[in-house]
Amino acid sequence: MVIEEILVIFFGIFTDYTLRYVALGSTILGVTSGALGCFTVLRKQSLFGDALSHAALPGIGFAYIFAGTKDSMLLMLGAAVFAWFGGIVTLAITSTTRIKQDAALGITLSVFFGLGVVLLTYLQSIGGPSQGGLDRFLFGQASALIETDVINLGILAAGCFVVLIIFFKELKIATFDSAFGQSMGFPTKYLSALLTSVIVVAVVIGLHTVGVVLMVSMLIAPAAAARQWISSLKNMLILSAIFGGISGVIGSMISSTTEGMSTGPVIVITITAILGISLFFSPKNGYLFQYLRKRKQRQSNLNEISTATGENSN
Amino acid sequence: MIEISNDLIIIGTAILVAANCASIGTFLVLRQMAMMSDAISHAVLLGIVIAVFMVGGRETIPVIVGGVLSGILTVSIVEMLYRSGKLKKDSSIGIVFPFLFAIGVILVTQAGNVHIDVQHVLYGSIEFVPFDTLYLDEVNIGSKSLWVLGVLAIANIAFIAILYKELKISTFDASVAVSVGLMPMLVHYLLMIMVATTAVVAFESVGAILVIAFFIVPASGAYLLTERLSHMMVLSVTLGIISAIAGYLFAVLFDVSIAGSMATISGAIFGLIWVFAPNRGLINRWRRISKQRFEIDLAIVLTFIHDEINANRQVSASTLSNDLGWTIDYSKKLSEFIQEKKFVEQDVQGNLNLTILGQKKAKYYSTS
Repeated sequence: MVIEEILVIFFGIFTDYTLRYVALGSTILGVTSGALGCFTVLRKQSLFGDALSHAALPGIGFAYIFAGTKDSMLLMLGAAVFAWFGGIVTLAITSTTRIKQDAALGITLSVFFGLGVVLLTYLQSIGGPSQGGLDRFLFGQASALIETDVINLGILAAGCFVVLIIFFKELKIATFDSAFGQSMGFPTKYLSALLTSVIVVAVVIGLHTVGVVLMVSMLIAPAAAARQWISSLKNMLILSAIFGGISGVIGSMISSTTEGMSTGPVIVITITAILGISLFFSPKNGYLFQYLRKRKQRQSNLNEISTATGENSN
Repeated sequence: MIEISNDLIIIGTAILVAANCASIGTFLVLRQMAMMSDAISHAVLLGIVIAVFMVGGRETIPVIVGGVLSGILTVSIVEMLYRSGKLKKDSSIGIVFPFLFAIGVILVTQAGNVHIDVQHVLYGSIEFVPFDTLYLDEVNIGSKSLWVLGVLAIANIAFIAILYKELKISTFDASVAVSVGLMPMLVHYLLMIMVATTAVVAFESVGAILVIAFFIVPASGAYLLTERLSHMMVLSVTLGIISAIAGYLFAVLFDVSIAGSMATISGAIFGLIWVFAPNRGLINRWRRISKQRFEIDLAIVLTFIHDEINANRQVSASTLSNDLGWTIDYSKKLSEFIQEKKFVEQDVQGNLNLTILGQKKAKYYSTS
């Protein structure tokens, strides 16, 4: 019975138009954020994505106020501009004051988000978009995706991957040994800016499917899960993209079966489950194998002690 | 019973939220735990929802207990994950709180009987605070939020007053705190409990994300204005209260979200401090840097003239920009400055010669 239902939903991707776009959109997000998230995790900037995604919210509001349409490309452009701006503000705070990175991130994400909320409520009070118009970007509503949205998302994602492939070596060096990169003549500053830009694009793609509030999870969790299995960067990127894509498909399918359920939370729970499995069962560092190894070690230690004491008593 | 107007109840609530968050926030900013408070203020949602399920209503005490427990759960999972070495600290934070928050959001949206709106989870519902009154023996004793926040304020003041020394030492030097037997881990967990309690209580009025604004933004502003912990705390609370009142007025004026405009105003105030702070502001910093650069360039130009004259070469004001690679305007400004200060004299051919004062200065620079 259950399997039958799952199959019906799965084949729905090929027959049901809405579901097809929902699944496609979520997969595009999952794959892109999965791959790019590896860099944020490895550069120890995991929470930077959180600030960027919250900072995108006022961009949506301003884009709507100035353009007056819900054209998704314009809204995404506004979101991207503000996400970038949020990133710059965070960096400017840490580089010109003694405030540390965590507080700078907290300032950016809460103030920008507050501004975004002000704009959204302003739009509602002047009779702008109806309830559920723009606030679907808070937790994502993949079921609102239409064909042109998905095509736009696809183009943006393709752009990210082109950048990623062309600059793979440079980004790798900037991530693992930025001082060495600088000494080799790589413009590490520009590379960081480039990386921030592609992460902004990933955040913008994520607005439709997971929303601004939970986006950070889509950047961190797939990468952290992939890291448990693999240590080479290239393979880690691929596995992380696969994990992200799987969680996108599963999450959007589950949420589309239930009335009024946002996509974001379901996708986040799915990817965290994948991470949990990875933490427990990865053969190298998993909790399970660590425990088994420890027990075996203890057993052999005990055996050694008992043979040693046995010899002594003889 | 004294009637207080609804506006006053809302402003009073906002002031108490701001004061509670901003005082505890001082320690969060100084201990670099701002993002941990982000995690806690999201995660309390799950505890609140579960508590509502269990008792079947939004009773104050179960909601606070539920929220605090889930806050502590968050801190413990995050610490367990990064202590195991499998994840970095920021990654663990960024994984744990979205997960717990996502479960909370699904429970809120799918279970009909919780009566919490998803939007109110994010940006609170302070505008409804006056309608929630507290009854004691069937007698209306006023706004519930004012009572709860007032009790919390007393608890926070007591916490900070009793543990002031412990908090101070463990914040600025954890190893000293260990060596004098102050148990920084205990202080850490007590602080986390106070953060979670404050977050749950404030959550109802300003929502998950804007709690963070009150925790972090006023304290960060105060951090740029003073060097003393006690002053920083007073300033932080003051800035928080100003943001709350100004934010409320702004919201009423433009008919927008109250909590959102409080966060926006607090950001604007932080921005002003960032630019204009007397010592650590951007303007002062820029002045200091350009003054230092000018001082260095002065040293360069005087030693340059000194060396050139010692090598029996002529230095003229017009070729200075070429020789030192500066713009023409800047080198003109510098050469005028050194003539005005009587370090250098210009002869009839336009060549620069050091005065006795200038020679002294050049020697001072070349030896130091």
